[in-house]
Amino acid sequence: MADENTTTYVPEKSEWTEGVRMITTADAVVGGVDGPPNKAYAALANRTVYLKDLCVKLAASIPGTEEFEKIYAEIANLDVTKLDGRVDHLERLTGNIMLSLQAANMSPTGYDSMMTETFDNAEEIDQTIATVTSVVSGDDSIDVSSASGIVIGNHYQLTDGEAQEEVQVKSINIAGTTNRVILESPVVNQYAAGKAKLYRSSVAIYNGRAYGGGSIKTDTWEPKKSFSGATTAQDVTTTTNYTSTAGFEVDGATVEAGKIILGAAAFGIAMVSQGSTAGVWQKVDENGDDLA
Amino acid sequence: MSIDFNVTAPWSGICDVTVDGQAMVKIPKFYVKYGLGPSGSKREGKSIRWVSDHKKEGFHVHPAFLKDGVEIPYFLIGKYEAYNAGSSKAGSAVGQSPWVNVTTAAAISACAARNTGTGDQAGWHLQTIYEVAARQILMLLEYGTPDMQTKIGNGNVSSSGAVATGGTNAKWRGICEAWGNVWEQVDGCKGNGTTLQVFDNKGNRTYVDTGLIPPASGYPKDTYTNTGANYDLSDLFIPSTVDATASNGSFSDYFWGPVSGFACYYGGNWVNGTQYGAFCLDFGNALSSTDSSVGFRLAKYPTVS
Repeated sequence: MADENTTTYVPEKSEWTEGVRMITTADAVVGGVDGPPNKAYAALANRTVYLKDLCVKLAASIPGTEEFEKIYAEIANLDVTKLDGRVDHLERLTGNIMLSLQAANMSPTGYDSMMTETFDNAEEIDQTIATVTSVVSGDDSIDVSSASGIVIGNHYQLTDGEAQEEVQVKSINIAGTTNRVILESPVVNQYAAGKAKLYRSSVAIYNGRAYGGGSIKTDTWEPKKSFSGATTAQDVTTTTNYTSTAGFEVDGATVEAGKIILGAAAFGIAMVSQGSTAGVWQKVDENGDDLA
Repeated sequence: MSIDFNVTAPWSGICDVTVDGQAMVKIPKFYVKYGLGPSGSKREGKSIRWVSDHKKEGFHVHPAFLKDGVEIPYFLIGKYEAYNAGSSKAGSAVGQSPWVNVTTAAAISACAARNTGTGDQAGWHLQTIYEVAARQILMLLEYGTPDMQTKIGNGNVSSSGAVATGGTNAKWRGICEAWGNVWEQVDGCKGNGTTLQVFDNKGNRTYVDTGLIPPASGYPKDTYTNTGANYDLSDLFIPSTVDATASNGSFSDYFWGPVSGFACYYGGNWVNGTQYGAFCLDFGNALSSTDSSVGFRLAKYPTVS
């Protein structure tokens, strides 16, 4: 209960004071903050404040109390956007590394293949797909129908179902209807016109499941076939109109009996000097340099 | 780089075969080029003979693999010096006494006597100077020296007479008595007077006159590289210069200079030791001459389809 003259209150602070002083027969009744009679009150007041503060703190852990609701509101209002960004970034880095390993056909020991996903958010796989409208082998840019979802710095799988390679986005230039994606390095493969796409994830999501390519390593090469995927073997046989080998020449090779012979070697023997009974001779290669 | 000739063509393709009952050795076709070491090379300006099992720029097929102007995949050479197989036919078999005391013409006839039909009974002939040279270039390149006697064995070159075929250590890739034992008569090289004539280099077996008179006897220092219509002496190993002193020679063997109308003998007999060898030629006897130390060797073209 408040006194009308608060200046006469015993000063109090929230601390647990050890012992409450008892007034002795030798104590003179002197007022003031340091007056012996007031020391006992001060100690009791301190304890009271201390106990009150403790009660408030305890109340914050009890749902429904004002303190609880206040703290809950503070937590709910915390901005964790930057934290999300950091997590996403770390996941992108991890995803890029995994994609690089997959592109190099490197899998953990004991596994014959690996599925990789590059999360942009912790709760979903980035299924960004961009249709490529123009791609030329050797060029470091590709045009896409829409650059929506493509993130600078991210790695993507570029494929037309036949050839495939990993590319990294360096920058994106949008001018009018042209959406040009500049890559960190030139495109290596050639892609069928109108079929190439950029995929962020190499995992396909359908029927509620994730699927990854798995049979590439078990495919075997067959003569006269070319393939770069599991089910995309293509004939490379062609027919020529040559009726004899006379008009058919291959640089660095010879044509004999219908066969192209590559890299036929030639060896020579040089007479280094005359005399010495049997002369001095040296075996040489086609260029006139010594052989062993 | 070191060459393993056992797995390198054409050497790797040299093998024994039996044709019409005769022991033969198959020599696969190869191509040759002659010239000087290219500018900037280790052997710049040096005379070089190159061999390749496939045709390459600047190379031509060795004439031993041309028959009537057409390339043949190989030729067969007798594994042994010829023996008298009866019916005037020359044969090639182990353990036989070499057929000697025949003129060059008789040796040609004895070989051709095997041509009684087609296929295995066709294409038999006395070895030619080109077939000798084909073996010489392969030996020279394989061993890096013309001194085959040091590298392989002396052969029967210092004794009192010929031994039965297959009985000496002068054996190169299956070919026995490759030098020594008895001289071998050679077709396609003779003297018009003392002027050198050789078979044309298109496989037509017609003689062309080189206009060259080979040197007198001595140790060869170098060989002809002259060319003309239908001949290129770089394909052969016919001495162009000689020296009287063995140590001034370059081929480790001796050369007997030409007599008028000379025949060509190859390899040496059982008498003169290291003067004989894989590069030894004797132009010192007439075509009509015979001797107990002079024999010959069968050869055969494959059937060209």
